[in-house]
Amino acid sequence: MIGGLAVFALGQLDFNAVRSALIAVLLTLVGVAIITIPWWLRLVRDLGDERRGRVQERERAEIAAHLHDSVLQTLALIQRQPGDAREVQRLARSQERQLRTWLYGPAGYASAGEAQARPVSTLAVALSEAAGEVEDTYAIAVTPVIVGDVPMDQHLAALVAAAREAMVNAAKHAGVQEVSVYAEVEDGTASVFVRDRGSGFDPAAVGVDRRGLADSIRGRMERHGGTATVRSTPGEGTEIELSVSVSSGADSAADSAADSAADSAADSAQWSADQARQSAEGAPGQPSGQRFGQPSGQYPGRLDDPSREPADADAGPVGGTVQAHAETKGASR
Amino acid sequence: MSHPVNHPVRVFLVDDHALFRAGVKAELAGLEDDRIEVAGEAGSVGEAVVRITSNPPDVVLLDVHMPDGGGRAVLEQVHAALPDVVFLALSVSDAAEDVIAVIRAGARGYVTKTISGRELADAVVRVSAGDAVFSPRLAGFVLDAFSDRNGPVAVTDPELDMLSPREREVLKLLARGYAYKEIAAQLFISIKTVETHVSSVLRKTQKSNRYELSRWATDRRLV
Repeated sequence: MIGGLAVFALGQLDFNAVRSALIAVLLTLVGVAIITIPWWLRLVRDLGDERRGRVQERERAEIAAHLHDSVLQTLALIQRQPGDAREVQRLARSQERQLRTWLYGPAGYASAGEAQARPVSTLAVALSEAAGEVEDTYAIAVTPVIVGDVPMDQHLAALVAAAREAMVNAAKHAGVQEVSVYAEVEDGTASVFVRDRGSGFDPAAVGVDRRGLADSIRGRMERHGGTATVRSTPGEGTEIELSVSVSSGADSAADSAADSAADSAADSAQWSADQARQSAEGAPGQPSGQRFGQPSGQYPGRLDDPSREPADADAGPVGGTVQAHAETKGASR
Repeated sequence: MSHPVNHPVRVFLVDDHALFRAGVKAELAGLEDDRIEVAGEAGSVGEAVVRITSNPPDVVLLDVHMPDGGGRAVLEQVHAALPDVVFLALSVSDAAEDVIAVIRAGARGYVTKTISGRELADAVVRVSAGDAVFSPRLAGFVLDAFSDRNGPVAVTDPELDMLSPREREVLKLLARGYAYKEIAAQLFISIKTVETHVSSVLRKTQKSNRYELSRWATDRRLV
């Protein structure tokens, strides 16, 4: 640099030397840049390392937090009530499902990067959630297998709600520990099969006053242009097949607004009925953390307690799941 | 492949969790099922390769996820040399690409670890007799792998790269939780024919070079 200045000073004396002075200054600057290249490289590398380190650190913290909130809490809960096999099983199942979703689900930890940026609700997500709710509430295993997927719309929401009702029916009446759920989206149709190997019933013998099958499943599917088929043999089990066509766009938003209003009224009635029943029974559906102080004896078996729902005691396997459902719907009209 | 019925099927357990191996052993022993006996176990890929090679069992129950390459690594090192040893994947893994990879490496079925002891014993006897064992979840994975919903796929060998309509029907019923007997009744075919279809689906899943089968999991997006 000093050399450069010296050349420049000489240039003051000799006007012709100005150009060569500028060239000299330029060359000096280039020289300095070349000399400091390793330093620049190191700086860039250090920055990269630091950023990577921060990302890893954040990731580690996230995993630790997740495991703490979920797995450790559940293990603690299980240790507190080891004698209640049913409750332990329910906790373990629910925890397994959560961890599985976190790891392998559509937006899961172990799935491809671009998938994580998709909060879109899809049929697969909604159906898995419904299956999880039933699993938690009724302490049975519900294992959904889903082939294909499609973004949710109101018709699919009805499909999921009807499927949930079918699962609830199986959980309540079939007397089984496991319910199979298979869903597929193919050729413009979404279908769900809910199957149990339980007690079964005669579909023709189900009274017209039993609203669960009639309203929550069949009526709901028909309102949305879908179908519901019930196959059941006493002693062998029941399969309910639900299907609805998948709309390719927002074509029929208006004409089904009334339907969805009816559905949501029915749904909220059902939910409040369910919630009321749950709180009466010690709230098995609530977040598990709230149960710490409660004695484990508060979770009686639902399946085999006829006094719980007197109106349902003599219903078939798919019977009046939700009396409140039908009543509220009538009131809302 | 076929197994004489006069001596019990010798089962070998490979799982990196000792607790899980102990659980399976206890459960199989508790059945008092004289069709099967536990012949050995291993807790790592290296140990499994050495023990299976030195004293080949009839059926290996193989964990999909283990350090050092998992069940797939065991299959790759043992399957070619010992084609008579049958592998059945037993895993909690839900990642479809891992399950499909183990099937393609030579496993003859996949069941989830939540399976009951009785069902596991049945599955072991069935694979040892040469059958394929498709849990509903595996049936779903394979249906997905052979679907065209991500656009048409280059089919180089129709014999291997596509499922016949009948095979598709059988797979769907498996995914719906039907047993072979129930599938046979539903489709008006014999149980033997159901087994043939399932074996054929297994062969296609293992041999097809369909683009989807190696790549489908990452492309598994919306219709």
